Amino acid sequence: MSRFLKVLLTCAVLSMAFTASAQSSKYPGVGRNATPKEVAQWDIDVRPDFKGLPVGSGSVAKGQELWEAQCAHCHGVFGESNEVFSPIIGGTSAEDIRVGRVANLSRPDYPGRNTLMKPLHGFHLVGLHPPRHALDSPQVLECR
Amino acid sequence: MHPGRLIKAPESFLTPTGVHAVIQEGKQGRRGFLRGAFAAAAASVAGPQVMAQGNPVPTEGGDPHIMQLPAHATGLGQGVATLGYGQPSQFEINLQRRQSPGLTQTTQASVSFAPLQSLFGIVTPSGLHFERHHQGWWDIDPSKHRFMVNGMVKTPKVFTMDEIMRLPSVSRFHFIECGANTAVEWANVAVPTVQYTHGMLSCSEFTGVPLITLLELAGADLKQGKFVLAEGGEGSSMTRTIPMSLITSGEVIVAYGQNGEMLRPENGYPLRLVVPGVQGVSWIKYLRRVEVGDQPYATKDEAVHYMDLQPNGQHRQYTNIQECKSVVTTPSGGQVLLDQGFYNITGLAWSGKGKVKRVDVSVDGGRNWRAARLETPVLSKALTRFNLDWVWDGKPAIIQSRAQDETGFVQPTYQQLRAVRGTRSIYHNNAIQSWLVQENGEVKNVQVS
Repeated sequence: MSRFLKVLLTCAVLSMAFTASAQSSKYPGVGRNATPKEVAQWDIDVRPDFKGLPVGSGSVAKGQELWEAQCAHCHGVFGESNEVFSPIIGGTSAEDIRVGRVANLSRPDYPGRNTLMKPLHGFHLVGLHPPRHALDSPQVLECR
Repeated sequence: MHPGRLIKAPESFLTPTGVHAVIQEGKQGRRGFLRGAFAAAAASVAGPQVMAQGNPVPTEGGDPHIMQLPAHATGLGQGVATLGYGQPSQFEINLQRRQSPGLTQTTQASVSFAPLQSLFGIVTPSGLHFERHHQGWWDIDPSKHRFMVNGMVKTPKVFTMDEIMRLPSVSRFHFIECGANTAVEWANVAVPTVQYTHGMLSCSEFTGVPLITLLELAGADLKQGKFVLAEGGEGSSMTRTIPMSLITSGEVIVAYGQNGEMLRPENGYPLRLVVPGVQGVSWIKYLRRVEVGDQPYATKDEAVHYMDLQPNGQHRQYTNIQECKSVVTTPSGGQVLLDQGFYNITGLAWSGKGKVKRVDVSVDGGRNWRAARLETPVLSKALTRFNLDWVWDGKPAIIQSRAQDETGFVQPTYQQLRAVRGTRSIYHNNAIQSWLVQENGEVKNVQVS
């Protein structure tokens, strides 16, 4: 192969490589690929169709223990407390669960509206919500 | 004709004792009010007094403030860079964002309201921007802040602040209004001043990178990916679903700049989402991640909060856009008109759907309307300042403003709004506000049935 051809080919190869790298980013040098570890650490949302829900563990008893240690301080042992935040539970009946509608929501004289009166139709985010009274604690809740 | 004179809303200028004194004295007539009550009120004020004053010709034939040269006319002022970062005048120290007493039990999951009654134009000074925190605010080291794009993308990406700030930027003026602004007024009059009725509202020039740029860098699937989850980095893990259409239009910005400088910590420093026209909760502060997906996420603050209870017991969900609304900021509740004469009725109008087209003002509770002047600039999804000349004849007057946006949407009356949405909703109250100017000049928050 002539020296001229070699130079020409090298140029062509280099030029192709350069084009490929330029096409990979309009703004070279800005941003990098996230590692799977990094994504796993931050990607903790769960959709209503359960996409993102991690494999579960634990028991009702363990949940009660966790609740009483971490949540009851503000929300009450049964989630009923109105001391710091509005109650999480209350105002619903077995009939509501059967029909899928909370009767008290259509009563103008019923003052209380709480978390469980609203999302009966769905499911919401699992996040990290460190308890306000223990922000320096290394423990972090796994659900809310 | 007397010059128009006005006492600003008491929250900004007087202590509770002072307010009491002013009202008591005011009831005994205006002369006594001016000379006596103010002296009494002023005596109890901790800060310096900046108050409405009469402008009479003194008996000695010359105003002492003219006749005797003050120190600033005869002495040498202070040098440059005395303050490396300038502060408001000491006489404006009472201009503060404030908490509504008793509204929340913790200051970390709470609200402070911007003092709309004393602001000019359309830009909210960054230090007076309203606050809404869900788990307290932080001052985050920008060198340690990271922004991640994942979900339906070719390659999940991580960006540093330096990298985001190297990208091509845009700067745009937009209002931000909490979905719960004016919430306490749904059923009846509840709070006295515009700071508390409408103060979860601010407007800034935001600078940042269109989110679409960052999504494209990660190779986002813009066909299947109809929604984006935006997530904050602080303890509340605030998460909201943003429709992709708002992002592909280039409107949604990943912002670091606010009014020419970096965001304030209370407003999400170093990085927040700007979602023009959409309620404030979606403007995720301390933004750490966006995820591209093909369905809405029904997050806690979409499935439990920020939705509208209807009279039939069902909820409207994903009512994200702040509809056309306006409010008169002067005269407004808590202020006192000291005498008859000329006043400039002024206020703010805005729409989450585009530009404000017109604002009409009534001084007789909605019977007659006059078109207000819209001051420039009139920008899409930004606050618009309006003004209207008014000569007060000393009789009771009910002042209202009614805005219309470029889509033709007209701000509703309370009667119209309640006919559709009842009175038990919390969010998205954009009804016409009424201020009653009483014969004694006191301005009260009222609702016209």
